[in-house]
Amino acid sequence: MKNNDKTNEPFLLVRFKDEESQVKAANQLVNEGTFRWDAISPYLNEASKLAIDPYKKQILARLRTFTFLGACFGILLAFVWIWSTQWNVSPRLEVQGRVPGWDQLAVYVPVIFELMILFAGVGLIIGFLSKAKLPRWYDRCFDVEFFEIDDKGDGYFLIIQCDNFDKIRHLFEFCNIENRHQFVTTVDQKGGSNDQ
Amino acid sequence: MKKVNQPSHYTQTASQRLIKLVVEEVQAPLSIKWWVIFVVCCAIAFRGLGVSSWQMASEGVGVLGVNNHVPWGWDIVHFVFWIGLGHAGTLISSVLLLTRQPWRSPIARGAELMTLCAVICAGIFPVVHVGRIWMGWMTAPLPEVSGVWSNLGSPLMWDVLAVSTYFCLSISYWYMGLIPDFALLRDTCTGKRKWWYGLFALGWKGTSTQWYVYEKSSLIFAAILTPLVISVHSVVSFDFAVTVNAGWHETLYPPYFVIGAMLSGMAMIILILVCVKKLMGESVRVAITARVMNLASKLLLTLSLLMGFMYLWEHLCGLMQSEDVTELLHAKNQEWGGWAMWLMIVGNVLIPQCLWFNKIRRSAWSLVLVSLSVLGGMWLERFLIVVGSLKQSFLWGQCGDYLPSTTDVWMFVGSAGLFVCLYMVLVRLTPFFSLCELREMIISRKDEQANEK
Repeated sequence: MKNNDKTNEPFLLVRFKDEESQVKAANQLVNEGTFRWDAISPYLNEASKLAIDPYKKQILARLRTFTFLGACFGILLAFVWIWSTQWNVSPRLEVQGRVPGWDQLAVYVPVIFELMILFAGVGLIIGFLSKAKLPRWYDRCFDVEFFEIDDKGDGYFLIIQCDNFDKIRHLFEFCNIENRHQFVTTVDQKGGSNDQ
Repeated sequence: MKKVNQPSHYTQTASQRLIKLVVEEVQAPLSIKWWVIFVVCCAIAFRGLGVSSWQMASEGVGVLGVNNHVPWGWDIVHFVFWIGLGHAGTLISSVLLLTRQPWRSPIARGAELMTLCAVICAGIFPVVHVGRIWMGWMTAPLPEVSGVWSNLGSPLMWDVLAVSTYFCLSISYWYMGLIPDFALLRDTCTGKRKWWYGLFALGWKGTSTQWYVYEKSSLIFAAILTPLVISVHSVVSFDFAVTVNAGWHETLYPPYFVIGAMLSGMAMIILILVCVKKLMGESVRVAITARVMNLASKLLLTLSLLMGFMYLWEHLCGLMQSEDVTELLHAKNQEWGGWAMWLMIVGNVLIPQCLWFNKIRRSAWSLVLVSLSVLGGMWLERFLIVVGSLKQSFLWGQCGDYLPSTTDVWMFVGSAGLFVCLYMVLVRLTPFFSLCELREMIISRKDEQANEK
């Protein structure tokens, strides 16, 4: 489920006993094809890969665009810097009889290259933070009591955009969801917690 | 399709055990051994760098061994030495990621940490070496009093820019890799640690989008960093190569410096891995397996062969040049009766050939000795390049001598102390390896084994 945090749409948070159950449930959701959903796992496991599959190209394109724009900005900034401090100053700093200008562009290639790389990296970091929605100091899931990992670093969840668990109960019949699910509506309003 | 999507439930045990060990180690109090080593290294760093820097600022660069004939001495040797170590860390981490080497995870974080600590150590030398530390702002893009801007066509300014860019991106790359691990520690630790790790985790939740963005960003970052690292050490070599000083003015220098940096960096990584395995908790011993050490040793062997090729190339180039240049090259290599050059070749090329033998690659002590020999050899190489070349000239009047002062010696010892201090702190505050990547590695390895069966 994408952008569930932007809108205050209700969603269902389901915790699974283990990774196998989560992947089974994720496969069921893919086969059903009518729900918007997302997976939360301690690493990029199969359930997460199933969840991200339709959005892969778009995300990758955005990251590349951010990087490319950063690189272009770096090149532009380098030229502005060189022009304003080396070429468009009076008097120009002449070293060994060489007058700074376009015909001396080769000596500025390292500066242009470094700034290009630096700002490509900065662009990528901005892209990473914006697409991963970080930093994010509060999330509705953090209010849910069972939304935590155990001491072994495990915690497998699915977030499903739906307003009633009964609608998807039949999907999870064979998925061994021994744990709990909670209906989360808005920031301040939560549904009841159920043990299965 | 379904079969591919089945998780490896039987593999959970190994990764769960590892996570549990790491969390326990992070929360455990610091040992007396850790404190003793840390305090001693802090004292050495203070005496070596603090007191020496103060001496240089108050008395001038006369306290160093440099003179009119040899204006660049040990300080620049150590700048190149540390920056070489620093460059290798990120290069090895990013190249192994791009080539998708499964043994990257246990060593990448350690290599990235080495980069940060080594670049900090390297940065101190040129700043202090100029004598007037308070004039360091002149390297920033600001005009000085008379309105003259720093010359962007100068290799020294390229160097400042390259190293600053490298440091900024390396620290970002390292931090980005740590975010999921900080989140894991946030969720498993208690008290103040939970708050601090939570702050640095930036609210990471572990959604599929976050994992995918993290994975792809790491790859793109690695693709950005690889040419950057090569360019940065090439720029360091330009400090020498674009001058008209005989012995420095060589087109061979960029690849020569890059290969040398990778060799010394790999040796340092192996040395760190052996020390960390001995001194740190069980989690490191579980993660850094004999196979990882074996592959790292093979990479060191490959790099030493490449370095040998570079030495051969350098001397063949010398033979093809004019007699004067050949004589100068010969004179440079005859520093201290020529034994410095031979020690360099023995340390960098001949001793690492022991790694052809499996028995040597499996012995921790042998690996330590080989790594130390490479580090010593690389130090001598930088010494011969910087000091050996400056001592020689086409004009007899410009030929001089050089003897390092005690301040020079203390500066190097202090930088080593600072390196150990920084490394100990960072390795204590952050996991030594990427927990999520290692978990994926363990699971994929077990999957492969299961498929083979």
